[in-house]
Amino acid sequence: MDEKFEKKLNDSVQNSPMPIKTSADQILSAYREKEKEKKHHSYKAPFFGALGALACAVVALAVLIPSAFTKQTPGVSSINDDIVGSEITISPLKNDRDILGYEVAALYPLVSGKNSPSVAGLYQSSSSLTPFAEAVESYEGIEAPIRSTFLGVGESLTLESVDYSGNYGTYTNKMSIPAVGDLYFNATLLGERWNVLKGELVDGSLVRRFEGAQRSNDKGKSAFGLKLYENETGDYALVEQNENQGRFFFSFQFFVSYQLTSSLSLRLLRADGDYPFIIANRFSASDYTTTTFKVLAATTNQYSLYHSGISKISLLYKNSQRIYTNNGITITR
Amino acid sequence: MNEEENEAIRKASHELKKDPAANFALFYDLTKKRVYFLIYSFTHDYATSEDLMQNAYVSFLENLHKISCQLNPMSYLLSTARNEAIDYLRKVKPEYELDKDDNAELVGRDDPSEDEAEPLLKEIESFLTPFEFQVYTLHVLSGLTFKEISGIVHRPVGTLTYTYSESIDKLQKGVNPLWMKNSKKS
Repeated sequence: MDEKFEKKLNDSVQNSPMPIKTSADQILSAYREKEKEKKHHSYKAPFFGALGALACAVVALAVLIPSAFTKQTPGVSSINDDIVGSEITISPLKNDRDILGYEVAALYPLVSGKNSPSVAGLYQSSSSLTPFAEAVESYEGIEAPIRSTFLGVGESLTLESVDYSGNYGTYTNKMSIPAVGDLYFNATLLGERWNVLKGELVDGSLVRRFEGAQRSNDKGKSAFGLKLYENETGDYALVEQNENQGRFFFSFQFFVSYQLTSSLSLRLLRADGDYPFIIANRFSASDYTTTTFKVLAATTNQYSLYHSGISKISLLYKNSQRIYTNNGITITR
Repeated sequence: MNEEENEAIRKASHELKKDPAANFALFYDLTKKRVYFLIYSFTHDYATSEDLMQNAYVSFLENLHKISCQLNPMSYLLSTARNEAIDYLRKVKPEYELDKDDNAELVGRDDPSEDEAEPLLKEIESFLTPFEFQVYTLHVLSGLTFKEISGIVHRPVGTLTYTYSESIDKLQKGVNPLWMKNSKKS
């Protein structure tokens, strides 16, 4: 390389007229405008925008890059560990049907096909794992409902009128939930809202009974609870909405022989930049420990996980795999 | 970036945090060229680079309260700019992947209109592959070290120094010396 030429060329390039036309004042104006907009912004638009992007997920799956997000960089990933979410103003769950769909879609992956004593299949930590691997294993136990929440699984489903004779009764309503099964149920109304539900969840040859009830006396708030029975001997799961704890707040409790074994709560918030953000708390009744994950969705398939004792973990959903990355180390599930 | 420039930017960042409206102009003046050309090295488009640069600065201002001036606010700003550029490329070129080996060939070569193009830079661009041009732009116009560039384009430092050296050789054979003589002093 000719260093004299290099210097002459680079000096010429550096001293060429600058093409930049944007002024500092223009940027400040744009900043002020955005700050003003933020004050009047609802949660609904960006959240549904993100859900709308799901339609493009097939394309997105092919192009997202795990290693581009391995560092804590700002911009897309402009969230620090001290991320604080604000309350959403409008819930993506628009009606009782959405709430029922969401509750079953979020709960079912935690109980289906796992004949473990804990029913939920929630992870019990192992001291032999690295902190990263342990965090991944722990997160795997609660990944499904968080994913369902971000994707809006169970929402906007169709309710059909049927005359269906099941294992536990005859039902007049049917709602099919993708990747879960068919819900058959009867509902009693209180005003325009579902008050009590009784029905069955049919997943192929597996049939589970469920009961649901509206538990709020406050007309402005919803607190729809659902009990899904594993059997009739005291193994069941309970999911409850509680708008007193957040506009979008659900708790999941798991019982074996009528004893609480573990619980999980999910609260959906809005982070800076209007990214959907979930705080998940898992409680284990065996050792009375609580584990917290903060999960931010940068896109429908790219999440950032924040967990105490470990730096940010990036999670990418790609080709039916979950790719976790932390400090350049990757774990694929 | 030399230490003197870094120090000036650090001082400007301190002032910016105290009063963004009053002190942004100085900070912007010190940093805009680096930010702009970092984005340009990805987009190859002047107008788009201006838009994305504005987005990057607005995002930087929004997150100013989280940024420690004791660390490196410039790094934060450049990371923001890089993410803006990558987000943009993903939108307009869904096949774009940062770490893909042939990534450079996926980046557009949308020539700017003649009246907007800076002649010497355009001349340089015409002789280099998109990746070579990116390395050259980041090193010469954004003032980044090869180590810093490595963090942006995810390539080893050795690859970058080799690419840069090859680029200079190519340019020595190709660039018309008239461009260099005719370049105006700013």
